[in-house]
Amino acid sequence: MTGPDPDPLRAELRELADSVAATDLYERSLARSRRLGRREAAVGTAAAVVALALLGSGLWQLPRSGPQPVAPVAGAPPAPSAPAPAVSQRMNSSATTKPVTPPRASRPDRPRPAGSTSTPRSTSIADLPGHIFYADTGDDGRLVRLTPGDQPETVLSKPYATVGVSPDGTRVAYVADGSLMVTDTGGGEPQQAYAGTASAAQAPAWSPDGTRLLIDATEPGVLDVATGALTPLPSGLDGQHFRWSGDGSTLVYATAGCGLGVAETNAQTGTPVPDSGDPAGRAACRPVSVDATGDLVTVHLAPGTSDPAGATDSAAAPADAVLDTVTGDIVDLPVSGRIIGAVFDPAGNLLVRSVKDGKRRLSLFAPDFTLLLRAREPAALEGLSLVAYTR
Amino acid sequence: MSTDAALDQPLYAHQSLRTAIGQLGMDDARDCAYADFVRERSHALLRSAFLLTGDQHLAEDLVQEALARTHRAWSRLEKPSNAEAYARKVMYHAQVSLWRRPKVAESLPGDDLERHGGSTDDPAEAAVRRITLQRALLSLSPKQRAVIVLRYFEDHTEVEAAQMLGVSVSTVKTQCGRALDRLRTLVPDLRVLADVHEAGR
Repeated sequence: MTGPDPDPLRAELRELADSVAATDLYERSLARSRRLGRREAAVGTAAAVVALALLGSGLWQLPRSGPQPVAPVAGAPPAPSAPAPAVSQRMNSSATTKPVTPPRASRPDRPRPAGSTSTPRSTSIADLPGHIFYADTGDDGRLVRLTPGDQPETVLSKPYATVGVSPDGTRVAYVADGSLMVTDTGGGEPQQAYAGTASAAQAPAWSPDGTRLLIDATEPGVLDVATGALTPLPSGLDGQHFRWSGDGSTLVYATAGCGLGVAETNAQTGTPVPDSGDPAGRAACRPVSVDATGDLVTVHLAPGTSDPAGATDSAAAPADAVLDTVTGDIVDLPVSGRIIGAVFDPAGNLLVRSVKDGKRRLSLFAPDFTLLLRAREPAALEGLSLVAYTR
Repeated sequence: MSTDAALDQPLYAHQSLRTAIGQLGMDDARDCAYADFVRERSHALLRSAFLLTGDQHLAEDLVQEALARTHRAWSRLEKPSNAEAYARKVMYHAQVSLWRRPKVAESLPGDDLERHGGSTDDPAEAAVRRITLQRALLSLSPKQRAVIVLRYFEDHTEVEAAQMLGVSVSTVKTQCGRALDRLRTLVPDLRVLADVHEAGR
């Protein structure tokens, strides 16, 4: 496609750029780099102390010590064999006496999809529990909430750079003009939760209990929403796009050069997810959501790249695959057509958005991959991007 | 070639020789490569940063941050030629998400006449035109401004701009279209840009 060449604009921009005065930034940039280095070294130690103290006190799991929320799917609660509650209980009982045992190595019988012949327990969108959030990327990211049975409603119309929806769907954290804002999805004025947030490589990620936000301030850190205290992540966790598992035990994140890493939340360093190789040559450059335990992660697959900043590509693109964090294998989902979105809720239920022959469908899988629901998506959501699925 | 002779050669020849004869440790070699990179490319980065921020000091801060983070990542860069791409990516992400949107330039046409370096025969007219464009750019959202600079100053394709900003191509198209509409409204000289935003590459 061709059109008039915008030479006037190009020429004017070049002329305007000529206005900038040349400056030697070598010493300034080195000084800033040294400050960043000292900060990384200092916060690594501090974060280790804080993490150990939290783990030792059991506070980390305190908000989840009550009954686990159960996804109220009509006639189809998550299967009893779902791993999340069992692991969560094991962590509660062990947290006061010993470090968390990495859960992945001890569960070789992780549930996986059975095949392509699954019959959904429901085909009515009205039976879908919880809320689904979409972003209108063509309209400065306007955030839309779908509560099945109701009309989609806009819950955030202010422009933002990145956004994160709380696990219970009641609050939204977003970054606008360098500030982290939190607002209720039911209305109300946004409140500033933190100033000075670089967010392109880190959308605000809510902790499972909804009390903390993993953000990118100068470096990635965990913000206590109530107090405003920021605890930087250990410097050994060198990554971007951190996401929490539903039980709070695990962080999955993007590493440089289009890779993924997994770390226990009290760890100083992470473990790389093996690159098993996608047949199409694509790489999992960015985690989008993590299941209850950290076994599985929804990812956005992108062309593999040696670009060291490649992990920050397509920060707004929805996930289109599910990946096993132990093997690096892409999980074959029993969904026909093309996957255009995939998110876990904190309990490990997986919502998959797919399109085939122009028809968009939503499929909800329990943590054991029982197909709970498959239904047509409301037409009003065409062109929007799947962001989150919440209680 | 002796070491003394090498000192009379261009910077890259120095670096090659020094590296080849192994007289410098890895850290020194890295520092030299970084210094070369900063001195050769920081003005180009500053030019883009000035369009993004509309202010000399904000532009310097933005480039300083991008360079510092590039320095931190230097050992992970597979080759020095990746450094500029890395720095630019950091810069654009920081501009869109971290840097507060600066206020519309408060200087009046004529304030900056002495800094003008344009090619027109009438310095005053050129300065007015430049300030008009600067104000118009600053009235755009950070993302729109970034798209305009990427597309029409750095001559990136829509796909490349989308990758740089970490957004979809459709977002680039939408933001570009809106930005051009606004620029056409605010900058009379750019009204010839009719429908140019539809000419995606």
